[in-house]
Amino acid sequence: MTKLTEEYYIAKTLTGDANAFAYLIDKHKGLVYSLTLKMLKNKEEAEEVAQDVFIKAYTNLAKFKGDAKFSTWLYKIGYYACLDALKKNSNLQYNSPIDEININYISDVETVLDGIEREERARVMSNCMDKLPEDEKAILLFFYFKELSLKEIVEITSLTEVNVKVKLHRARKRLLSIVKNHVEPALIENYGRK
Amino acid sequence: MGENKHMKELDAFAKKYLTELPENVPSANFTANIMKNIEQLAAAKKTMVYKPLISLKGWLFIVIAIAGVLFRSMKSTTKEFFALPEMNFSFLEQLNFTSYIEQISISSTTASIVLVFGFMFLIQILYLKGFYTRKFNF
Repeated sequence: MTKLTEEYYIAKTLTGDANAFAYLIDKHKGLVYSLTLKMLKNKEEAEEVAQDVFIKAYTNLAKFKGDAKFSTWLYKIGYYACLDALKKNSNLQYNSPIDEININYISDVETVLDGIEREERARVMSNCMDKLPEDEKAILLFFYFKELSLKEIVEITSLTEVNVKVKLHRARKRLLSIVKNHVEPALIENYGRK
Repeated sequence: MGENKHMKELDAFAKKYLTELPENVPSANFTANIMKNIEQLAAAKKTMVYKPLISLKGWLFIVIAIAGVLFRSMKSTTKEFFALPEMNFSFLEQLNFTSYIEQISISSTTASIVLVFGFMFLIQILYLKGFYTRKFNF
């Protein structure tokens, strides 16, 4: 039903009814803005890029063939728009090292994270995500936050499935290392109590 | 096997905490801002649609009129269809333009100002042309 409705509004927009596009914006604005904000970390820039994504989608709507989901197509435009915007701030360096995974500290880190409030925990995770390289961050967001399939991520990023899997694994390991370093003082405190 | 176990635990860790990230909401006028831009785009596209100065009907009329005039002039043997009135331009010789031009003297300062002004004017035309081309190219 949703697909039919979306197709109807896309077709209506293509016939020249620009107002029909407002339905598509309202439906997907949260998804696109969440992505741009989490990638760019700046509200004004994220909103500007998200608006550009929809304008680009409108001007190129005839190129959307309907093979993929409309949201996947929007994500693709959004992903490249974010990478372009980040390239302009290319002075940012992400060189967080990946520590050797010690399976014991996953549960230690979880213990610390579980001990803080949900809202604060989300802020900690968000700050740690910001320290990831942009491609790894985007893949983690697509896979876990947006719950997209590997096939959809391949479509958005134009990477091979193997490449996406490798990046995803590396991103998870790097994120754990970053979170571990972030909560290190609390970990030491916990060990002290033990 | 050990690597797979790590993958599973890392996957569970990421799933547990990344799904908790909040969904962000854009500003209230987000859709309105985009629609405003889209309307401007649509309006600009409409104004940029190529419209010939003389329509097809106009050209047809012109061709038929010229053909009609030629046909009629070829047919008529007794008198010319178009007879332009004879004009006498001998008065131009009396005006003697060249001597007037020779009498005009312009100082080098005025000449420089006129030259610079003309140069600036040409630059502005080129700049404005570029500006409007960029503005209407999407």
